[in-house]
Amino acid sequence: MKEHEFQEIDFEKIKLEKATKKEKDLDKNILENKKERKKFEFNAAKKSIGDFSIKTKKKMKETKKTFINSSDKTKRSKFNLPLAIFKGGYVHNPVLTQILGVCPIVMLATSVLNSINVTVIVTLMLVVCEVITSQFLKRVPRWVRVSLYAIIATIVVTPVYILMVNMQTLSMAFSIYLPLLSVNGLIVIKCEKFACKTSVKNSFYDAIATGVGFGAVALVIGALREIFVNGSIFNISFASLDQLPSSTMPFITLVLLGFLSAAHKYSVMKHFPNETTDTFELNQVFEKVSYSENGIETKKKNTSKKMKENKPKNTPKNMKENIQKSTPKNKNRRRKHESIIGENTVQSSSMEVQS
Amino acid sequence: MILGFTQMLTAAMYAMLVQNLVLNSVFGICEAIRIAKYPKHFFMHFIAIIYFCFTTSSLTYVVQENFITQSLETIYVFMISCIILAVVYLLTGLLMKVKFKANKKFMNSLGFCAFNSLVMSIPMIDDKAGYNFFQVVGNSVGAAVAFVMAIILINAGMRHIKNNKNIPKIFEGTPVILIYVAILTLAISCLSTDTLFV
Repeated sequence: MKEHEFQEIDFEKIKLEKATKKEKDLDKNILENKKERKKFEFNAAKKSIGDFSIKTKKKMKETKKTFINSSDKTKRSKFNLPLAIFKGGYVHNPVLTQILGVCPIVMLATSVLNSINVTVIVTLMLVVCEVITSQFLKRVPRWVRVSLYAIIATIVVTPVYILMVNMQTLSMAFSIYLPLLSVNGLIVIKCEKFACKTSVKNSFYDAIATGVGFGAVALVIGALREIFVNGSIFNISFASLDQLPSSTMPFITLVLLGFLSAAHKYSVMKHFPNETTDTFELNQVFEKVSYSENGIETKKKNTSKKMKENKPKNTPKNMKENIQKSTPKNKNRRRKHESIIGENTVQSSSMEVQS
Repeated sequence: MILGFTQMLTAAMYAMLVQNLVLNSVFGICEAIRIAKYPKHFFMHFIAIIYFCFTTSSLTYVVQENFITQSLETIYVFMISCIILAVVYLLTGLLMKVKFKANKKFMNSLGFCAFNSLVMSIPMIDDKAGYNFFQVVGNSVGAAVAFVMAIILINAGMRHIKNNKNIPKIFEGTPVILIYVAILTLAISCLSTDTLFV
């Protein structure tokens, strides 16, 4: 009986050894696959680096040549201030291209004199705010900076307001809208998008350029409104024109601004075809939603359904292929798959043992 | 109390429809047009603007009533409201960042909602009109609703303009939007006493 028992025990041991061998073989296969994949990735990376190095060498040579050529030019050419003002004020006009500073133009630019006052104050505020932000506020977090712009601008506006009160040139509209210039979007956006990223000198020039652009629009609108209301400008009367006293309303000013921006767009497209100035191109904004003729909202067909149909099912073969294809980013996924496969192999080996 | 609530409601309705601060008085029209480009965050903007309008106007009213006895110039009222708004904004920003771990986008849009010509104009209008506390609250809520109304109208217009193929190329983009907003302001001005042909 003892011998028989001993033989049975040996038999079980052999079975177990066979199962463990199979498991080890499978593990080896997986490891080999892993090694192969690593080798393949390494070779691919090597190739890409080689290509990249060749490309970069070529590029470096080209840039060296261009730098040598350009250095001579830069020595001769200096910073062109009129060109910078022209580009910032005319081509990228803040009012006509970005709809910034519309509120003061609509409410304060009722005559030429008023528009000159507004432009002077706005440029002063822009210069102070942009210079201070570029000098001191670059390291301050963005959400804190926004509140500081308003405070700096109010500090600039307050003496101007008091001066205007003392000189008795402050109208009713100015009394409310003048302090509000300090919270204008023009200042906040210019400081955020330009002054924070550049030097003090550049931000100063940008402030002057935007002030000039704002002033040009304000002057045109102010002159037109003065002609419409009084029928004269600088003692030059336009008797043939009918007076329209309601042109102080925002409606007429906004329409004038619309036509002015269209004229500006036409001239920019004609003279600077490569410049993209309009920030309100609606095709870029509403890409996902489209409307039918009835005006009912219809969403575009999702391509995700097709993708789902074409996706292979998670069969064990595909699982292995997916593991081999998978990128090193989804390591956790791979580990899961491996563990599942490991469990399956153990189960299959145990089934064989039972049979 | 009932009188106070009726005053609040009338002030809100007046700020929303008759004296529509966004489309009639053009306070914060640039911000409204900018926000109308992205309709996803309407609700968040609405809540933020109501919050900042209410807090700044009510706190400036409280400060003016309790600590300042003289009637002030508009610029001083503006300065007080600006300081109050800055403090409220920084506190809420800190709270959002530390406790709720708000992301950068949210914080940026919060600043956009807070430092707005609409939010800053309400305390000055309250001071000029001599409103009481209930009217101050009503005015601030009405102004915020007017802002959201303007955003929704502008956004709807933008969508229809986008599908209109009869618009000339030169007028596409900014010019059309400006003209559309002009027509909206004309439509809203009908509710007030303003008329085109005086």
